[in-house]
Amino acid sequence: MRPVANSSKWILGLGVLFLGWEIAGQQEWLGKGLPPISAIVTYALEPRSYELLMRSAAVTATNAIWGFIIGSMIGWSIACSGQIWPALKKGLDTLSTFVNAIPLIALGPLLIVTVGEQLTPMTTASLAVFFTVFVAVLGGFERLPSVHHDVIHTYGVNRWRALILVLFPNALPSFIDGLKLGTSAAVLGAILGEWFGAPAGLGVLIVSSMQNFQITLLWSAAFLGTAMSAAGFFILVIVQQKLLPRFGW
Amino acid sequence: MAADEKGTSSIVIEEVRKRFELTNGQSIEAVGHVDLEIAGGEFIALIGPSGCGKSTLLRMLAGLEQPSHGRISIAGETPEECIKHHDLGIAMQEHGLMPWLTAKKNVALPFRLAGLPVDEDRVDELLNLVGLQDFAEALPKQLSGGMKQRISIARSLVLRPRVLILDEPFGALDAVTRRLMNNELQRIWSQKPTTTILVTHSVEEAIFLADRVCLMSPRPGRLALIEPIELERPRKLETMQEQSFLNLLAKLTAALDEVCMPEVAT
Repeated sequence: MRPVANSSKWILGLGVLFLGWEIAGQQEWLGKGLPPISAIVTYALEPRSYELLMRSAAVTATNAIWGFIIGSMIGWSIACSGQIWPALKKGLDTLSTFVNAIPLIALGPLLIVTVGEQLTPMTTASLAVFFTVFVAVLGGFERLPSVHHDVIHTYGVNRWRALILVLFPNALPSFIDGLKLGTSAAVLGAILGEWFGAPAGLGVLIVSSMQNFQITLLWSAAFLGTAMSAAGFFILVIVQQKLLPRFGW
Repeated sequence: MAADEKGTSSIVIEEVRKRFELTNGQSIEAVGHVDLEIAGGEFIALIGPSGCGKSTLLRMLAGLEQPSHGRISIAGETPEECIKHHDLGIAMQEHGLMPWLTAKKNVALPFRLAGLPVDEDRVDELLNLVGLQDFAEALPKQLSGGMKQRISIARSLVLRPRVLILDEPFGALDAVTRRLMNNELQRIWSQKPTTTILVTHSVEEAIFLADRVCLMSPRPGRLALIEPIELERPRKLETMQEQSFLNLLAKLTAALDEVCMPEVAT
């Protein structure tokens, strides 16, 4: 009964949102900038725009997925390195915070001239993801109960074995939470990277439609980006629900 | 040293003190001057008021804290050397089981942590010993508090440690389960007497299990009394009703009251 009740709430909530949007668009309460949702859907399903949107979405999805994978691995590796080599921990934490503090908007042009316009979206996506995953994994490590630390110590465990056998399994729920947040960060990072001059992608579409005042195209691209983030998030929710109980969580 | 060659170890605690530095620059002495010799295979219970330093003394024995003064020697080695040889087993009030591992894998964990091949027969033997062979594949969340503690004790014994350190392992259990667990622990220990140091708040538990009961004074903890327990083994739950047990209980309770509240006791 509960999943059905939850689905009903979701459908009802979205229905109310879309209905309100449709009315606001039809009545032009926010001017031409907010078209009715029916106009956006109709436009997006036209063969020519559909093909353009799907082609751009595929490019953005590829950039986001690679950025997500690379960023997650970097975040995870940095967090783990600090546990294996404690002397590096403070430096790695500071470096990660520093890199995260640099606005992507400032890094974008620099990346275009360093890694090139092709790789910039993937790089910005990685940068957007790594810190989220890094903080999540680190949080998981630091939430290890003191009694588990005592167990590790009493059996004279080296740091590698402690990491693999105790620390990382304990941090798994946090890690997956970090990945869930990382999905939307990856899509956002990829779109932002494309914005700076990539050859294709939703970011490129958003910039050109904005400059040409193609409001329905702009909204269609924004919708696709949102749907991509939501899809990634829900895939990880399912992974979380299936995986964690197997590990006793 | 190979696990099956291990015997038991005597422990020497010599002039041990522990002082903790506080954040405000001051310090407190948790453990005063403690001298104690424990024979190989002996079962020692430490009792005393809360905060008297019992657990701190135990943590120093387990190498989890360093003494500020004095030395601890386990069969001539420091606790750190014993840890390297996997000669210490530890079970605490919090069971410390890994929630992602089954009961069997939790018992086997010390092998993996120590980088040793898992001795499946030894793991099964210990699961049998604590009576949980039917729960081998259960996760900790599927076990009761008593079962978790039994798994924790099985885990502490799996590498055949020469010294077993128990810090209030049954402190979180209800009175009935606790008595049953005392009986279980005594049965397990009797099969292969291992040098054991138990910290407990229960005088009854201490008398029931130990060869000697050490009473610690309030902070800074010192040994106020060492009482040999000469009750015959194996002890049964009925032993707790015998006059000799009750006499010891009265004597140690009075001694505990005296060190905790001297003005009331007198």
